Amino acid sequence: MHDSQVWQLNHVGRRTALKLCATLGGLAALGGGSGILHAATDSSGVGSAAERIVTTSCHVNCGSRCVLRAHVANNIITRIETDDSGDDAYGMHQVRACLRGRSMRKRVYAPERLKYPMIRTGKRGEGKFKRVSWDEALDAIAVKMKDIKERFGNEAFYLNYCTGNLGGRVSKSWPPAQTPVARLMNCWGGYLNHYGTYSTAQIAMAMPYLYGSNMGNAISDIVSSKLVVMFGNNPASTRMSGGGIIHDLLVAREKSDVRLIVVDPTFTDTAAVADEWIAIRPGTDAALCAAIAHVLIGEGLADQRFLDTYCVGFDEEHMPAGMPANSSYKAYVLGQGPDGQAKTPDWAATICGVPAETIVRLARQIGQAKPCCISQGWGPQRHSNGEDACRAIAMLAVLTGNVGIAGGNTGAREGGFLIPFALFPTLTNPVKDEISVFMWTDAIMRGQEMTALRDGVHNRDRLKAPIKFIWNYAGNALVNQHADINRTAAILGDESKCEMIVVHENFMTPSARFADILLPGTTNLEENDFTVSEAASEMAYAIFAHKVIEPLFESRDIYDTCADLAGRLGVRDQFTEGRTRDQWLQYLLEQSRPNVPGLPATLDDAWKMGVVKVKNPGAPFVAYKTFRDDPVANPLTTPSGKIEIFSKRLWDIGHSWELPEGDRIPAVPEFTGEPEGYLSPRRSQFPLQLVTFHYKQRTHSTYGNVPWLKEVAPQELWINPIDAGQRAIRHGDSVRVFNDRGTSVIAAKVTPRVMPGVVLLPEGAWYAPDAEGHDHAGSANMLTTQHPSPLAKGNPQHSSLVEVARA
Amino acid sequence: MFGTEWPLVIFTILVQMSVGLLIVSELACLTGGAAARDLLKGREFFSLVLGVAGLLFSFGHLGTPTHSPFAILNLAHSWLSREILCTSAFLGCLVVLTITRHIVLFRAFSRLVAAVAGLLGLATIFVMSRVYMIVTVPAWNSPATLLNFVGAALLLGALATGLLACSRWSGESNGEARSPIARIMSLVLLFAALGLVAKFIEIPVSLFAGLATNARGVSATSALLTDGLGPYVLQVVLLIVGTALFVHVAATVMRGNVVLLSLLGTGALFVALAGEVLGRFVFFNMHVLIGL
Amino acid sequence: MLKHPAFHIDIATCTGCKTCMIACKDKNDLADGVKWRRVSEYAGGGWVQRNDNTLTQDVFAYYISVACNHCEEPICVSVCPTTAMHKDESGIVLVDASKCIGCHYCEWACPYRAPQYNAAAGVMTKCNFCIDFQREGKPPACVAACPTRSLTFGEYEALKKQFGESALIAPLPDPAITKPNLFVTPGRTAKPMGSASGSIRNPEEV
Repeated sequence: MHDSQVWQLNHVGRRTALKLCATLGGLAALGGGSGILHAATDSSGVGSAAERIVTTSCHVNCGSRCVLRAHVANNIITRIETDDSGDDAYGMHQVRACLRGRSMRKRVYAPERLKYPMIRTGKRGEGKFKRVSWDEALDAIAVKMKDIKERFGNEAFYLNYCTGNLGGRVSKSWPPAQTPVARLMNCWGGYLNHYGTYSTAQIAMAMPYLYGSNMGNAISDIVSSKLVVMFGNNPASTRMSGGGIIHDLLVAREKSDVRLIVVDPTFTDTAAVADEWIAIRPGTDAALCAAIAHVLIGEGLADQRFLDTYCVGFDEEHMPAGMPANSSYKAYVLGQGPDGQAKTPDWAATICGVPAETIVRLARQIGQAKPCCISQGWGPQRHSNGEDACRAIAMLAVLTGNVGIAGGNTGAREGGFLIPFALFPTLTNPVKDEISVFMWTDAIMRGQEMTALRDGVHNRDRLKAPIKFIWNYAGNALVNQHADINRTAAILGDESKCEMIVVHENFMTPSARFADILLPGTTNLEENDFTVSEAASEMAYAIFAHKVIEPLFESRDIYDTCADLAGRLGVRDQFTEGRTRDQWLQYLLEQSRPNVPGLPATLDDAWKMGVVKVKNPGAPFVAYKTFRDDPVANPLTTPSGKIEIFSKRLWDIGHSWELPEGDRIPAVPEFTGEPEGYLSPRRSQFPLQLVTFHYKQRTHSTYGNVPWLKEVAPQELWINPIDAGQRAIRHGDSVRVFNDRGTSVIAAKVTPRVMPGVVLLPEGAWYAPDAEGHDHAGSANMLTTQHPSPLAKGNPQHSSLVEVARA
Repeated sequence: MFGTEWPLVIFTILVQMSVGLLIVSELACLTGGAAARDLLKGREFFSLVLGVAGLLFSFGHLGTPTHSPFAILNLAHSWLSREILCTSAFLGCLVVLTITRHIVLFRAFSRLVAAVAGLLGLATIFVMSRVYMIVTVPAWNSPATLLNFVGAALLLGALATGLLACSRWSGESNGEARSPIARIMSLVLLFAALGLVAKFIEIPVSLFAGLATNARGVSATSALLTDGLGPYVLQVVLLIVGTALFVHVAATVMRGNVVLLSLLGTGALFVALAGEVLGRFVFFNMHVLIGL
Repeated sequence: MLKHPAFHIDIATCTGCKTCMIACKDKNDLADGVKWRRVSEYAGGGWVQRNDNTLTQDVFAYYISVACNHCEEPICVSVCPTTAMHKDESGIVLVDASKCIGCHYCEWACPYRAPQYNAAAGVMTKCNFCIDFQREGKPPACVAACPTRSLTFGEYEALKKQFGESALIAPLPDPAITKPNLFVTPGRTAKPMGSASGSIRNPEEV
């Protein structure tokens, strides 16, 4: 699940202020770069061969980008080190890779590497292939592309969500519109695009209805906070880089010693360094927040002046015209709305599992701490009711007037500091149709039935064609990371529906097994590329990742692959514009140099430099600061220009869209029970709520084949001792996790760190089915649903009910 | 439970049996006179064979046996160094004893050599127990370990002595109340009983020592009672059955019946031996380390 | 090269990411199952389910990363029959593979589980404090790797001045046994040494 598309470009407006001196510090930092020769150390076992150290990076989808320093001798990587430049002073600190980056050589040399182009020989998904030449493979793709274009048009071509090489600049695999595949398709008539991400579908869709966008203060801004409350935000696991958010958080907290409260169903690794953990049932954040609002309003802790000045729809006096009485947020909280239920702490307690006295105490702490940082991760929103949950959490920031000030926050996830480095140009997509990232399996099955009002099709009332051709470059969402693997496998297994799947990949992943044509890609250590920082608060950087070793086997990079295919489609010149991959990198340098001071002029200089670091010259980023300072001069991008607690747009959507029974799109952030949640009647059959989490072993499914990582962080089902005891499960026992969609078998981790009634499965384990179709890897998507969330039509992968038994 | 440490199981039991055989059989000869010496002829050689076999098995435990000469370099600190030295000295002494008993010229020294060998044997048992009495392994670090090893030596040594005597007893002194075989058997029974007493004192002491729970939430005793209860109970039963069988053999001998004596004696020894082997596996499974 | 190097681990900021473990495995090219550095997860506390469907708990968890503490009175050295396990002039405990017989005795005795057996080589192996890096003036691989800067190393006396005596927190054993060169900054929920309120919950990982 992808982590970066809503990463705010909040450097805009201050790029001219970047200080050259800071940049120069970064240059000095990586003075080594490539080309340094020294004797290998004995412990590496390399002997006395001359060894080079080459600066490269890790490009996976974790939100961070880390410096790797590869030791290489005789075209073999012998060791991976990380940024060791300078004195590590914060602001120009080392971008230290996490455990995954440090295991990179085991990934490059994994036995699962694809060696040659292959064409499917068995049934799709069976994993039977025959070796072919690159020419044969590309010829076959070109022939089929022309055939499908003729019969269905360019709208039948889909670029699937793929984030395995998110960090690359030329080899970028997501968003689709920034990839070489998109450039190829755009030269040749376009493709069906998608909006949203598996990481953030609901929050990225919903927050703009509240604020006009989805921004948050930098985490480093908590130096000014009196209290930090994180809802489902776990940077210790989701932002592990030593140059990223967890480092920023710990440094800021060391300075201010601010109290940190974590609200989460799990005692996360972030909770391990926090001051308090409040355990909440999954999918009930909106109920908790409504009860906190009830206390804030009842005890006069709400910032009425802020609500009157900056917001629409808090109370009946500030509603859009023409809305029925008692539709405001305050009416909802106090029980004056249609449901007549006051959202008291006692009401919420029985839903959330949080004792009423804890809710009252939390509300008072939030109301009295000035300023208070309310933030959320992307867990609360990855639910059937996630669009309301994320807005409900943000309401705590709005109610207490913490929006737009230092030390406060919007209630969204943290923002940061970026540099404006140029993207690989991909031209314009002539096809404007878009579907939600999560709806592609439906678009295969019933493409032309899918409409704007029923299925969230963008820019067209009804899809023109079903998906007939899938490009899957560097991704595992074709099978592993999409919900309900059994349904996905059945849909893909019907070869008459989607007629061709092309997978360009490093490894034989569960998704690669479903390819018709399987192309072996280079890892980013086998190609030249750049990568640019994303999730970082006070220091941005670019890494010039020099090729470490020659491509293994017959692997080829995506740019050359697309260029050769473009030749077969008659668009080679448009695609390449006469440039090689390295010439495009040179082009990107030239495009970026005016905006990022200190960039090298040539590729050779870049490789020598290795990394350029830019320190944030200003204060930590504060979202909507200009709006807070002057709401008239700097309105938000909502229709009213204000914070729309009641969204007239959502009201209209809720009254015009065709929604399945039980789905709701309320105008204010209400709590709605989930089809598979704590209040669901389905719990009598499947009593445990399954949520997934980002695990140190993998970035989603990337690195899922590295034995070192499996050894130090094995895949396990987390289950509370109470639930385990009722099922006679002991720590380490093999258990079956199952519901009516599938079964996964995995070892149990019996731990009090997960609440009773909830089980956790780290997302991303590589689906490993047996003859009966039961997975034996602990692959969470055996159990998740393809029923999309109401508004974003996004993936509700934390809304799954399951049962667990000893295997 | 039985996956690892089998070389050490065999090593410790064979060496303890070797020591026990030497001590019990020498004492039997001291009290039983020439007839007893005839019946127990070659006892030092059997002891030597057991000990050498044990030592050879111990190499199966080592990752790099070729480095084993280095194993006596840390006598100042390491009980394991001392164990290796003591065991080697004991076996060396048995070699000397075997030679002195076979060469008329040296026969005069054999009693002295036997005494030295017996003392070295006792020292080996003591040092061997100290090897396992590690401060970081509470279940081992108790007098139970010494009792365990002493008990094994006495019980197995007694049974081996008895078996040796039985196998050579032709029944010539049939019916005599104080026949050589009866005197040997009395001594054998005494030592077997002492061995069993040591074992039955050891059991509660080791279970108590094993109660200490480490930071992983594991105690040797709780692990034993949940995962190793079967082997543990069987071990105790086998020891009792083996000894009872031997009492029956001894009683039969002393009453003068000689039907299938050797077979029964062998059976008794093997049942007790099986109990000891099982018990030793249990012992090694009680390695529960404190700390991380 | 320090005269008397020691490790320091800040429990208050360690998130248990295990980067130190992988950096160590990569630097030393360790075989499967051999972990010169291990991150233990110590957790405890319990849950009460109340009649109104709410829950209360006193759950806590923290991580502690330990390699070898190069103890002042190393039990591995004293039990080793061959003197293969020895302390060098800087106090770093090393294995002389040309002497080691692979008897596992040090492994049985070390309460930090520092000695790690290499089955293929038939000898014991362990953390050498990256003595090669230290001689080049570089920090050990694990220290240089730590994303949260929780793991550091330094001169024993300086660390002692900064952090006081070796911290007596669970699940560490009594430092009196081996006198480890390890300093610990306890976190908010740290439990005292010998506490029975928690246990190591990830035995399969360490």
